[in-house]
Amino acid sequence: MKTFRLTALSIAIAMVAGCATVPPGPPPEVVRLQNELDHLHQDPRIGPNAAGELHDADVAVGILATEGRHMDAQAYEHRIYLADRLIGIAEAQGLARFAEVRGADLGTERDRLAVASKDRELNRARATANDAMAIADAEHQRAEMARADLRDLQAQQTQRGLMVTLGDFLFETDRAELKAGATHTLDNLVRALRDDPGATMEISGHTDSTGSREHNLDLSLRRADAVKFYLASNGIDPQRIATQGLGSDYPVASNGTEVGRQQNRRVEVILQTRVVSAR
Amino acid sequence: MDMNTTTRALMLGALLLLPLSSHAFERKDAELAMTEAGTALQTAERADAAPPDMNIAHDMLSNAQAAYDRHHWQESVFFAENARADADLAAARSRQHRAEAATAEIERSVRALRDQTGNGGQP
Repeated sequence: MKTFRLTALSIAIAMVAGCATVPPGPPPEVVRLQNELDHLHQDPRIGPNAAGELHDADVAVGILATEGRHMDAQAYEHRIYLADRLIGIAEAQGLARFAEVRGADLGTERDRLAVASKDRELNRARATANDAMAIADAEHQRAEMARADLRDLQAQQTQRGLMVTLGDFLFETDRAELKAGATHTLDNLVRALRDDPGATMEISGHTDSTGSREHNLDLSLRRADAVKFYLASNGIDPQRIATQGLGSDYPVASNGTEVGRQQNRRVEVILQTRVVSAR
Repeated sequence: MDMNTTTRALMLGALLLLPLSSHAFERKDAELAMTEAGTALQTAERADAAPPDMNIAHDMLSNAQAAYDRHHWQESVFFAENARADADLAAARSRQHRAEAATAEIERSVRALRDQTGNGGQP
C-alpha cells in the first residue's frame, strides 16, 4: 500500500511538472516574425538589397526565439513590436534600393533610346532636305531649259506674262491649218511648257483688217485653236491653255501697208509662269 | 535617403540591452529615449513620410510623454522606442514610394521611346 502511494505521488508530481514545463519552440508571434523574415530573405528584390537591415531583424527575432519565454510580458511585447518594425524597415529599404537600381538602369536605357530617336529624326530631316534639294535642282534645271526655249522664241516680259509673238508664217492666207514647216517654232513652245509644268498659256489670234470683222474674229479664233490643238497633241494638258480670237481689233501696225498688215497677222502667246522670266 | 546606420544600431541596441526581466528605468532613460524618438520623427517628416505612418509615431511619442508625466519611466521608454521605430519605418516607406514612383515614370518614358522607335520589346 505504501509502495502504491509513493508510485501515485511520483506520477502526480511528474504530471504537474510536465504541465509546468515551458512548451518547446518559440512563441507563435516569433514564428510569425521568422516566417516573414524568411520570406524577405528569399525575395530577390529585398534579400540582396537589405542585407544589413535583415541582419538586424534576424538578431532581434533570434533573441526573441531563444529568450522570449523568459521575458516579462511588457518587455516581450515591446521586443516583438520593435522586431516587427525592423522587419518592415528591411522590406521597405530593400524595395527602395531595388527600385533605385532599376530606375538607374532604365534611365540609361531611356538616354540610349532618346539618342537613337534623335539620330533617326536627324536622318529623316537630312533625307527630307536632300529630297527637297534634289527637287529644287530639278526645277532649276527645268527653269534653265525653259528659259533657253523662250530665248529661242524671243519672248518678252509684259505685265500679263511672257509674250511670244508668232508671225503670219504659221498659216496660209485666210486658212487656219498650220503649215507643215511652221511647227518648228511651236516645238520650242512645247518644250517650254514641258520644262515648266506649272505654267499656263493664253493664245490670242489676230488678223489684219482685210475682210469682215466677223470673219476675222472667227479666223483668228480658229488659228488660236489650231495652235492649242498642236500643243495638246504633243502632250501638253489642254486645261493649261486658253484661246481667244481678237480679229483685227488690236493691230500692232498700220493696215494701210502690206508690211503693216503682215505684222498684224499674228498669234500671240502669253505664258504665265513663276519660274521663268525672259532675259 | 538611406537609413542611418547609427539609427539602426541604436534600435538594435535597445533590443539587445533590454533586460530580460524587470529593470529599474530612470527618468533620464525616458528623457533620452524621447529625445531620440523626437529626432527620428523630424527626420521622417523631412523625408516626407506619409501622414498615416507618422500619426502612429506621433501617438507613440504622446504616450511616452504621458507615461513620463506619470513617472512611469519604463513605459515611457518603451513607448518612445516604439515611436522611434515607427518613425524609421515611415521614413523607409517614404523612400520606397519615392523610388518606385520615379522608376515607374522612367519606365513610362522608356516604353514611349520604344514605341516611337518601333522597339516594343526589351532592349
